[in-house]
Amino acid sequence: MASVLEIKDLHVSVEGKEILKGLTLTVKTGEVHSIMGPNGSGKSTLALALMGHPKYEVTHGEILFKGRNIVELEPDERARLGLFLAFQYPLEIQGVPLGRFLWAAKKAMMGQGTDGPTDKKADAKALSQFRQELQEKMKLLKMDESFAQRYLNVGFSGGEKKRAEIVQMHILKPEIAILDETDSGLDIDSVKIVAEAVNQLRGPDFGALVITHYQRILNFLKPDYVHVMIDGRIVRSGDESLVHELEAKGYDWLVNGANNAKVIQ
Amino acid sequence: MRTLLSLSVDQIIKQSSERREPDWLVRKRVEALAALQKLPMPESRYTKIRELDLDAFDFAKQNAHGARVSEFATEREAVHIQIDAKVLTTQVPEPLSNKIIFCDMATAVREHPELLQKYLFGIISPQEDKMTALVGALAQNGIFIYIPKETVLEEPLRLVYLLDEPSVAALAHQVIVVESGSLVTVLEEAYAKHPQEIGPHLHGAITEVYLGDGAQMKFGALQNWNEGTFSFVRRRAHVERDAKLHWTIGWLGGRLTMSHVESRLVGPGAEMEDIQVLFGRHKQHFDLTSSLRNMAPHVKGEIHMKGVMKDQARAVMYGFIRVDPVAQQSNSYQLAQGLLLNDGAHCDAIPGLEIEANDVRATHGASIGPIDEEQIFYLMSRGFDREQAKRTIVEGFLTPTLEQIPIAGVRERFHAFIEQKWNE
Repeated sequence: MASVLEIKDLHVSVEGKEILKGLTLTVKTGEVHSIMGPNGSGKSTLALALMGHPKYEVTHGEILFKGRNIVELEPDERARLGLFLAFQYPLEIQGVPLGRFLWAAKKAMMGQGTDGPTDKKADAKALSQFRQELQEKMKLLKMDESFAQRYLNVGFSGGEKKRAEIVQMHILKPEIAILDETDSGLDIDSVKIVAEAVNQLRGPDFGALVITHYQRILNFLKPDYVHVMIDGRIVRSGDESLVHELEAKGYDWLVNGANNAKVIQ
Repeated sequence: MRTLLSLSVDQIIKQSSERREPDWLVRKRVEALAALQKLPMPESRYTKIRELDLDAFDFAKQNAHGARVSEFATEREAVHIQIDAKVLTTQVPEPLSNKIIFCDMATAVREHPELLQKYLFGIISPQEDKMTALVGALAQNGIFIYIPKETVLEEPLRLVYLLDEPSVAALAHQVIVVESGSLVTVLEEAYAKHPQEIGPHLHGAITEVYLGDGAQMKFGALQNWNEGTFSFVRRRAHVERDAKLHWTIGWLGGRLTMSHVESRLVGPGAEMEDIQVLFGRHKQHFDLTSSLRNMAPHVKGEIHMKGVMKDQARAVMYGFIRVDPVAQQSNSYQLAQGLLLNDGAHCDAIPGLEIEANDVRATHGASIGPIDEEQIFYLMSRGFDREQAKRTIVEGFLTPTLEQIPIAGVRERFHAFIEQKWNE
């Protein structure tokens, strides 16, 4: 059975200012959705609110994931349920090597702490499997192995940070992943690498919500659904052909539509 | 009851003669007593000492409370162990015992008076401040280490200090001499016998370090007193041509800790590095100074101080760099960083630069602040709960500094202590 992320009439405020104004959207495993929209339309707010950033306050509506309202859940609880966010601006964490961090994250996802009683032999085996898996995933994203020893995102270039996010996604194997402008600032080769890595996860157990400004990544991803977001709402949904329509016409025709919609309301 | 203020010169002389101390040392003790009685309690802008009554302490009592050497060290190690003011052992195995002097201060006074006279109070004056004077006048013991020329020691020399009985003062004077071309690692460990108890304990120590031409010393210290301990520590090093000194100091314990580390780079090409890491919690107070003095050309020095403060803990980290006019083409750097885990915790970094030469590099950096909520969110989005996220950030904050610690044992034990403090 598909896992479902169901966003119903979501209103989100940041520091008292309403950014999402009644957003409704459903993403299921097996599907790739794309959200496009002009700057300031609330795309990143949606991503951060879905993951549970404390600054983003849900004032109305629901976020149902696997049938459960997750609005009151902490970010780590959401992650353990199978939600993942590839950050637009991944944070740098000094002193925490990427490899060790991911191993701890993987254990945390499985509900194990880093300490406490464990079967040492099984643990060592799991660790060696993990190392091998990490190596493969880094290869897939064309990142040098040495990144595993480097502190998390510290001194990484913009593109390296984004690719490291996708490595993390591969290791943590979420059911629904939100990619917040993962393609921004990437050169065309990197966009292709990232898109291929996302495509590799596609299947009945994985769904994605890909937030982007640009058509490029969508040419490689071929999303099942495309949504246009303006002023905190989805104003139009369609299939991949909508991307080309946007490419040709821009957002203005929809902006006006959104304004009209407001007037009609 | 006899108070420190009423302690007479005659009493000091009597005590010294009981220990068969030579005249020059008796004179130093008498000078120190005068300073002790005259000087006020040390204080700084950030540290006022209240609730410490020196007269509440016993400066004469020596009792090891049945401690055994095997609790702390094996027979094959060179180790000096003191329980409060009592020396439990100062052992040095063969063949090392034929190569170096490694003995407690009372023995050094009797057996190596002339050599000792060259160094004892050579770079630290008993009049510097009240607590230095206290150690100068009344230090019951300590250690004398003398490494002759071209001697390479593979294993660290260990100095273990344990505080056991409340209200017994533990004062130690340490002198370490490393002659030219020699290499040594000294590891000083300070523990509380009763980690949960709140004392009061009083600890005072002065350490004088001399490095000859091309000598190298790594000095590691870990302090984990209980939180009822007042601790005053002054360490100073005289570093000759091309010699290298690494200080690595980990601060975890104590109620009030005042520390001064001063490195005098007196010979061309001398180098020093001072890494100090501290983790404070509850109402602990740390007042830490690291001072670098460039006194010759082409010298190089770095100071790294890093603190994590929890609960209502407070710390001030002073870093001073002074470049003398002759110290051209010297290179010095200092960095102080503080991470505050909650609102009540406090940390200040005070850098000071005094540069009298024109062709030098001297830089400093400081940053103090709370844990970044965005970082916490990032880690939580990867499945870490809030506590694990915070802990990961704190460990990460300390890691780059801990990794620079050249002595593996200190590094690992520091990690273990932090773990323990976090879990308690």
